[in-house]
Amino acid sequence: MGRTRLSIAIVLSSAALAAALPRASHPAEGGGSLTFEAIQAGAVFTGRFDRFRADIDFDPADPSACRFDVRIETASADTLESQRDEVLKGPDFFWVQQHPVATYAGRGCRADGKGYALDGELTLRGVTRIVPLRFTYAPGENAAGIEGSARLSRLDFSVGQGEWQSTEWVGDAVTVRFDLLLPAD
Amino acid sequence: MPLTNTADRYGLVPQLLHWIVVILIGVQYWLAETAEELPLGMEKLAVLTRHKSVGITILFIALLRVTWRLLDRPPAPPPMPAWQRTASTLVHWGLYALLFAMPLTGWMMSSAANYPVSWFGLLQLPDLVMPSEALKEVLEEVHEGLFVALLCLAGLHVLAALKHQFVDRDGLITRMLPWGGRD
Repeated sequence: MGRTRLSIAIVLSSAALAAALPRASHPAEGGGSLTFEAIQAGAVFTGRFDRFRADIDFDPADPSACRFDVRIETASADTLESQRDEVLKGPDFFWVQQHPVATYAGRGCRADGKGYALDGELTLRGVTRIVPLRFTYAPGENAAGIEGSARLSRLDFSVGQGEWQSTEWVGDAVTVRFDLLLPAD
Repeated sequence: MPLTNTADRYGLVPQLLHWIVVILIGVQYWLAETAEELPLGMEKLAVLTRHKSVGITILFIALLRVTWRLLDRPPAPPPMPAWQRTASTLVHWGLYALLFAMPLTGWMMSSAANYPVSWFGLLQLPDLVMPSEALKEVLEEVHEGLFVALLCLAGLHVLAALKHQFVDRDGLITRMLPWGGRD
């Protein structure tokens, strides 16, 4: 119970953090952020990808025609601590030398409660699996906002080899959040 | 033995808290040294996590101890020169201050490194500062510097207690021990 509330606080603080520590650029088309939350030693921490490209077609009038094509540079993972980043990019986790890009591809969204859902395929560290995501759509004058999240198991994608297969100190569940600004056509 | 302070002895509760902190500081030093030797990996993460949980425990006990100290009048010390009284007051409050400063700088260090602190995996604590590797480096120096200060003050504290026991023979040390008495 307390966990839910705390993780919300973490999301807010990571948003505040992103605002407080601007990076040189956010090359997502139209702008946005892509962050992930994982659990280390019982505490949620947040990291982000600084380089990704999201090509998204979405029309709320016809969600079934939607298309998501997202490419993420795994080497742009940043947890704001260089030692951990090194391990994260190393062969035991993302193995960025071998798998420099992770992709998420999906077609055909469906209305789901107040927002939308998509069952797309995530390819990460050479493993492809369906990862459902949910998002909300906020139309704007010049750009529309798409904000959502997905929950996945890092071990499903072999992220965490050797001793890191244990989930005692680094949790298996990872929440990925995205907040994207799409230029209106 | 009474739980609270009497005219010539600390109560069982403040005695227990005093000695628990002594043991926990020893544990902290050992955990910190162990972590220092390890490369970044599961084991280091585990050791540092315990170091943080124990540190938060010390912070909590420090809060209890200071509250107790302010609410429950400590036993009167044996007669001694005024400068010794002053020195003892300074050392005691310095030690209390370090019992707060050490865990707080450690906690800030963790926040600065974007490793939020969990107390034994039961409770996630809020971050005290924004992540920043430069700030983390500074805090690490401060944290270690404070430990040296803690060693110095604790050394003075022990030497003074030994002097009272073996030079002055005034039984001061029994104020903090559940056994032995001066009556």
